[in-house]
Amino acid sequence: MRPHIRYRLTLSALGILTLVLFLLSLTVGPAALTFRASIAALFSDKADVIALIMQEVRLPRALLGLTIGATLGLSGAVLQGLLRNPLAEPGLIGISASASLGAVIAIYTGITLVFPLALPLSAFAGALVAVLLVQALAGARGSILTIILAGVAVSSFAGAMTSLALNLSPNPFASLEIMFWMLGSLTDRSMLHFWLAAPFILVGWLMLGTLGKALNALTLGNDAAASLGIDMRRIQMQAVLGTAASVGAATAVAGAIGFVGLVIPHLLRPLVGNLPSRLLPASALGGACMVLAADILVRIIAPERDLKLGVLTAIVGAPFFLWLVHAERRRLA
Amino acid sequence: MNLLALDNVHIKLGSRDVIKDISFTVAPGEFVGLIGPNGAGKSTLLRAITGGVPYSGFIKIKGSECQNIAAPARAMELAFLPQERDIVWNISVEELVGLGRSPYLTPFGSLRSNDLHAVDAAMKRMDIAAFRTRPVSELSGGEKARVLVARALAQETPLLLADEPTAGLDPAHNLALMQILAGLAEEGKGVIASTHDLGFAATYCTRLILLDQGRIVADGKPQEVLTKERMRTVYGVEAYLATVEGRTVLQPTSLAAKPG
Repeated sequence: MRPHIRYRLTLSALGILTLVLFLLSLTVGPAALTFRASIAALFSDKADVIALIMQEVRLPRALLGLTIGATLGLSGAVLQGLLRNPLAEPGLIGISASASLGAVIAIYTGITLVFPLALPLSAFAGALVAVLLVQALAGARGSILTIILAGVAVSSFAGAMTSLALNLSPNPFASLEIMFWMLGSLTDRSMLHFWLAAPFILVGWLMLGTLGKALNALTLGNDAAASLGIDMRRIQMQAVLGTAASVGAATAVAGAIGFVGLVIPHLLRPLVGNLPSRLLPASALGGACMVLAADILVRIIAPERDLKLGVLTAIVGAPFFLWLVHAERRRLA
Repeated sequence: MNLLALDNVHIKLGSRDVIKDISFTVAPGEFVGLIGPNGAGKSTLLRAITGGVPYSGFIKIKGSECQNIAAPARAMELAFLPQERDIVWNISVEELVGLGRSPYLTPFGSLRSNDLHAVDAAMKRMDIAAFRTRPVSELSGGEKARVLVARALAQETPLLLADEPTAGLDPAHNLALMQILAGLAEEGKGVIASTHDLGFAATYCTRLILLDQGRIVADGKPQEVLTKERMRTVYGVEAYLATVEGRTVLQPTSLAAKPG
């Protein structure tokens, strides 16, 4: 099959799968509603319980699954292309860890009890600080390696501060809340959470989604990309800020959901080819599918136990990561 | 008009002056061999011309200062084949050659018919069309070198710069590539290639520029530039130098005695 035909087929299939999973996400839950009734309630302007469940509980959950999944898949594909490294993902440049730290500070200090929006806002602030710090550490013409190393340093520091907060927390409930939040979940999010994250996610998508051509040229290395008319400094800035805005906002409302950005581009490369520009839309759809599917699964596997989404993606993702390192080692040997 | 003009170009990397006030011009039809020992500044100079390294002085492409030309517009005038040949993603040969069309594409644009035509012509020229769908990981060193040259050709620029394009090639591939570069110059392109293959450079280049410690030591016809004396003072070797059937033969024979 010609590559571009397979590419379009894959994109269409992923698009349909995303739609199906989105509808499933709307219709799976503890309240036993029929498909027809739940979709009707979604658009109903009556203030009954079913409409409330659909509009205030399931819709934000499905929308967040869709947008956060797409964000994680897209940013993973962009970072792998930018860093020219198949093991890259948003967590690598310190964004997840510092967004978590921001959220932890909000929970720890108790601001969240007074002002619920403080949680996503401070998580987002954490992501921004991380990116500014990484950019400052790496310097204006920082190389890819310095960005990764700066990211590792920022991640470690944020992790240490998070542990410190858990360590010193006088209130066991706050510790528990911090722990649970860090596991990553879409349970009990409201439309307010969605509207808070959406603008940042959208801006991030615009910044990341337009990088395809530049990332393609980067396949040949920095010097060749520069000679092909790619402004490396601008590309790097755009990729890092775009990731901060979108992944920062995603982490801010859902906690740390790992491995999506790592796993999805790898699963899709055999289907859409290795050209980064093709991987971007495919990974966005693939990420949305993975997070929506995982979020449906946690509701089916253990409806009573509130299994955390981030736990599930990590259980699937970490062995995949090991396999990937193994495969890379074979390739390099 | 000159395709390329350098005027007092000076490059500092850190605190080190790598290129010291270099001036030269390249006209259409010239195949310039950029030669000199390791560390002479050849790669740095080529990277500066292609926008990869900041410099002081003037580098003009068709009369316009390089730094005032937008990067994509510059990429339509000048193609560059860097020394780095590592291709990180395993794309196909035709996808790789298609990357040469990047400057002509809009952010979401795919290759249009004129782009595909340029890609086909470049592949035909480098004789790689037969394996256009093959992934680059399955290419031999010689095939990969041809594919990378085809990528630069697909860019359809009047100027072509190449940093040691023949490094790592066997004699046949080396000869073939030098012939192709010479052929491009004959068609009216300006070609600059850095190389350590002095014999081939002397045979195929219309002109040699010899760099040493960031300065131009000699600039002229190959037989004027390559002398036993310069081999001794610049490269530090004694060399056998002869003309056989109209072609230069140059073979270093021993290390030169250190002066003093």
